[in-house]
Amino acid sequence: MHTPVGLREPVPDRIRRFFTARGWTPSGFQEEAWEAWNRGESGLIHVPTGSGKTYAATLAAMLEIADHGGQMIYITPLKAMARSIAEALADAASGMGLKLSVESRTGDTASHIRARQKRKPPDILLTTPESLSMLMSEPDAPTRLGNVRALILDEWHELLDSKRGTQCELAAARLRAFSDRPPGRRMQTWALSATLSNVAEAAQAAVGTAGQPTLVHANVPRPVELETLLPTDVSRLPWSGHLGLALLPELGAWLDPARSTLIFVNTRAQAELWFQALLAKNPDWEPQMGIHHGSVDASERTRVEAGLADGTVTIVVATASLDLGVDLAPVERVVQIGSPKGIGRLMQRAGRSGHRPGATSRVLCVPTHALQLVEIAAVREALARREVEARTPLNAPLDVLAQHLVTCALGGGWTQDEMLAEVRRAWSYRGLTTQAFDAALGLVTEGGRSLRAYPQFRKVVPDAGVYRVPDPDVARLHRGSIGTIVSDVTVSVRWHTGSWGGGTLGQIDEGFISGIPPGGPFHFAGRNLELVSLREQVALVRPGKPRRGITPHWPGNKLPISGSLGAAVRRALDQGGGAAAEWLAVAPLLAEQARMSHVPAATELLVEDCVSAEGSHLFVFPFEGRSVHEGLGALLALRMCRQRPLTLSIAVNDYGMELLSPEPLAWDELLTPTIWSEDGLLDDILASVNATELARRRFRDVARVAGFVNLGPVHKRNTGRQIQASSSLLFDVFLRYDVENPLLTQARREVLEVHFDERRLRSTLTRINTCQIVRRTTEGATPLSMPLIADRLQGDRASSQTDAQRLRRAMEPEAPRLPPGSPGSTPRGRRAARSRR
Amino acid sequence: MLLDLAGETVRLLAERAVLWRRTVLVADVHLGKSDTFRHFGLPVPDGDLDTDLARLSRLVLDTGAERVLVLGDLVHSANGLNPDVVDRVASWRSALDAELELVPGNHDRFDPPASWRVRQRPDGHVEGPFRFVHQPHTRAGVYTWCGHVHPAAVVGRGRHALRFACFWLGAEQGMLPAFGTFTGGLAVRPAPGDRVVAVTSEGLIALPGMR
Repeated sequence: MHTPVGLREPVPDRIRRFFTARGWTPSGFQEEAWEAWNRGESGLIHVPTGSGKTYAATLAAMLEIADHGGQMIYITPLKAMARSIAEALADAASGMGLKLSVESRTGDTASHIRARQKRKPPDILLTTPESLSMLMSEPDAPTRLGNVRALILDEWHELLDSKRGTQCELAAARLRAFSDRPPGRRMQTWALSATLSNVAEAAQAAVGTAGQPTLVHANVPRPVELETLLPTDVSRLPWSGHLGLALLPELGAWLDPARSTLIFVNTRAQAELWFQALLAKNPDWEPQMGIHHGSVDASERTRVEAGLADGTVTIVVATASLDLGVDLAPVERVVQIGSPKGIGRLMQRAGRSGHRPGATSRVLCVPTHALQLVEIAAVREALARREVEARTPLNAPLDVLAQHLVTCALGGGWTQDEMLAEVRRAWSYRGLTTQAFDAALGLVTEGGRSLRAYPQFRKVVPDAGVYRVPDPDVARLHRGSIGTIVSDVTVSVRWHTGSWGGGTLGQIDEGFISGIPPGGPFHFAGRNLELVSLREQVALVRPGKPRRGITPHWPGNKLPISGSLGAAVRRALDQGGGAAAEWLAVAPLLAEQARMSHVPAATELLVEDCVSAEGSHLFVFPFEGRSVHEGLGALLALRMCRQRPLTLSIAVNDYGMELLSPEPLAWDELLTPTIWSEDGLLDDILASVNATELARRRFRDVARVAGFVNLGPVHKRNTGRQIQASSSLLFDVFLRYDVENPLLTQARREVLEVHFDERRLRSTLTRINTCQIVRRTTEGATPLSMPLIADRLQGDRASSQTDAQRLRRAMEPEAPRLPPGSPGSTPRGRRAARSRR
Repeated sequence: MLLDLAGETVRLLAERAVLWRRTVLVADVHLGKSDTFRHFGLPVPDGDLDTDLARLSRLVLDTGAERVLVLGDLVHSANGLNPDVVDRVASWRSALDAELELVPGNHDRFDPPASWRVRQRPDGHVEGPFRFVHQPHTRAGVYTWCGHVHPAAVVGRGRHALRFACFWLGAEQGMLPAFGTFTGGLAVRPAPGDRVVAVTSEGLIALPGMR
C-alpha cells in the first residue's frame, strides 16, 4: 500500500527502504502501529498469526531508540521464540541501517553472556517472563532497567490468562514505575495477540490501569478449512479413549514424507505413542520424522525446528510446544489428533500451515473416539460464525504477588505505600484490598501467622522503611525458584556411554522412571530405550530393541474444552444431521444413543443411570467442559450426601459427569429440585471445596509459587530424605496447625475460581433449571456415558460417612451383578460394549 | 484389640501402639520433623511435636505402662534438634512417669540428648519371646517387632480406594504403624495368612483376606 509523500507523515524513510529492499509493502495495520508509537501511545496489536505483527510493534520503536537511546524489552512465552525473533530484529536493524545490539536472555543463556549483558545491556533484549523477573531481582535493577522505552508482550493471548501473565503485568508495572522516575521518558507497552474475543480487556491488562490502550486491528482474512479423517468403516472408531490409534492406518496412508506436516496431539504421552506407532508402520520415514514436546531436550527440539526449516524433517509429532513461534517455517499440512479443546487453539494450530498473510489454513482432524466427530462438526460451525474464546486475566493471585514482593525486595527494595500503589496499577491487582496486600506482606516478612516466632522465615525485612532481603541464602534460594510454572520432580535421561553418561535426551517424571527396572524398555523422545541405571537425578539409557515398551505418563492438568466449544457441541447435537461428513459418520452412534437412551436437544439436560458390578451410576451431561463439571459434580454429590449417609465418587470429562455409588441407590429420590437450586450456592460451594481433594491438589502449586514449599533441586541434593513429604501430608499439617495461612486461602480461592467459578456455575444451574430434564435408566453404558466409565482417572469423593463406616462397607460382599451380557458388567464395560456393535 | 502372639497376650491400640505386659511399643515417632523442615527454610507450621508428646503421655496414663519402647526413629534428624526442641522434650520427659527406651533407627544416627534420659537398646534386643528391631528383619524361633516402613493398607480399587495406617502382623514378625503425626505411609502387600489391622478414626478394624 503506497501513501503519497507529503499528504501525511508516511512510512518512515528507513523502514520504507528496508521493506522495499525486501520487496515487501507495509500493511495498513503496520503503518497504523508505527504512527501510534510515534504519538507516544501504548496498546494492543490484534492480528492473525503470520501477518507481520512483530515488525508492526518494533520498527518505529527501534528507530527512536537508535536516535535517542533507551532500551527495548521483548517478552516471548517460549525460549525457542526468543532466539528466532532476535534474528528477525537484528535483520531489521541492519536493513534500516541502525546500530542496535540485539540479544536474548533466557534460562538457557550461558552465564558468561549474562555477565556481559550485565556490564553492557543490549539495546534490544529478548526474554521470557521468568528471565525478566530474574533481572528485576538484581540489586541494581532500578538503574539497569530504568531506561526501558519499549516493552513488547508477544503472544499475549497465551500469557494473559495464566500466572505467567500476572507475573508480566507486575513486571510491567514495575518497569513503568522505573521509567517514571526523573529524568525518565515514559515507557510504551505494546502487546501482540492472535485471535481472542476480549480484546479490550487484553489491551488494558497489557498497559495497566493507568494507561489508555490503542487498539490496532488488521483486517487480514485467515480462512481456516477443516477436514476430518474418517475411517472406511465407522464402527471401527471406539466409543471412548483419548490416545486413539484407531485411525493409524488411515493417517499413515494420508501422510506423505514429501510434504511437510505437523501432527498436533494433546499430551506428551500421546506424542510418544503416535510417533512410535507411525514409525513402526513406516520404518523408512525415520530420517524425516521428528518429535517435539516440552520434555524433549532443547537440542533435539532445535534440531527438529531446523529440520523443518531446511526441509530435512517433514513429519513432526508435536504438543502445544509448537503452537507458538513466529519464525517457524510454515508447513504444508497440519493434523490435529483428538479433541481440539478450543476454537482459538485450533485456529492457531491450523495457522501453522500457509503461514502467510491472507493464505488459507488447512487442518485435518483425526478423531480418537466416535463422539469427537460431533465436537469437530461443532468447531467447524463455530469457525464459520467466527466465534472464539475469551482469555480472562486472573484475579489478584496472592502467591504470584508474594513472589514478586521478594523479587523486588532483592532488586533495590521498596516501601510499603509505593509498592501497594504500584501493584494496584497492574490490571489483575486493580481491586487488591489493603488486607490482601497485608496478607502477602505477612507471608514474606514473617512466613505467615504460625511462624511469627521463627526468625528464619523473615525473608523480607524493613530497613528504615525500605523492604529488602538481608539473608544471602534466602536470595539464592529465591532466584533459583522464580517463575510460576510448577513442574514435578524430573530426572534427566542421558545416553549411557562410559560411566558418566553422554548426551541428554530430555526430562522424565521421576515417578514414572523409578517404576522401571534396570533393563526395562520404555519409549521416550521418540526412541525405544532400555534403562541401564537410575542414580541421583540421572537415568542412563541405551538404545532398546524395537519391541513393546512403556510410554511415560506425565502428570498434569488435562486441558478442558472451552465454554464456547461446549455450547457449540450442544447446538451441534441439537441441530444434528448437517451435511458435513462427520454427521454421516457419527449417525449410527447417535442412533444407538437414541435407541438406548436419548440424544439431548439444546433445551434438555440428559440424566442417565445404570447399574454395574461397580455399583450404581448416575450420568449428567451439561456439556460445559471438564472444570465446570468438576465443580458441579462436587456440588451435586455434597447435596445428595446431605440427604442421607452416602459415599459417592465423582468422575468428569468434557461432556458430563458420573456419580458412582458402590451400593444400590434409588437416584430419583435424591434428584430433588433442590439439587439444582441456586439458593445457598456460595455456602455449598465453600463446603464442597473443603470436602474434596481439589484444594489439596491446588495447594501444592500455590505453595511452590509463593516460595513456600521449595523442594527444588537445591534442597534435594543437600538434604536428601530429611525433608521429603508429600504435598498432601504438608497440606494436612497446614490445615491442622495453621488453618488461616493465606496460602490455604489462596488454594481454596483458586479452586473456587477455576472449578467452582461461581458465576459460571450459577449460569450453568440457571441454564439447567430452564432445561427439561430427560431421565433415562439404561441397560449399561451408552455412547455418551462410555467415555466417562472408561476414562475415569482421578476421581474425587464426597461422603457423609466416616472412614470407618466406609471401610466396613467396603468389606461387605460385592453388590449383585448385572445379568451377563449387559455392557456395564465387565470391569471397564468396554469389551461388552464393543461386542454390541 | 487383644491378640495372642508367641504365647503372649498383646493389645493393639488405636493410638498406633502395642501394649505388652507393662510396656507400650511405638515406632517412628519422628520428633522434630517440622523443625527439620524449618531448619532448611521450608515454612512448615509447628504443632506436631507438642501433639505427639501429649499423645505419648496420654498412652502411658491410659495404660498404666511403666515403659515406652520406641522401635527406632524417635527423632527425625539432628537438624531438627534445636535447643528449643531439646528443652521441650526434656521437660515432657521429666513429667513422664515411665522409662523411655530406644532401639535406634536409621534416623537416630546420634545419641539422644542426656536430658531426655533415653536408655538405648541394641537393634535386635530380645526380651521374653520377642525381639525388637527397627527395619524388618526376621530370625527363626523368635517373634520380631519392627517399624521403619510406615505401613498403610489400601482397601478397594481405583476411585473407591481407602487408605489407612495399619498394623501388619505376619507369622514371624509384627510391624507397627508410624506413631508421628507428620508422617506418610507406604502401601503394603501382605502375604496370605498375615493379619492387617487398620487404624481408623473410630478405632481399629481388622481387615480379612487382604491380597
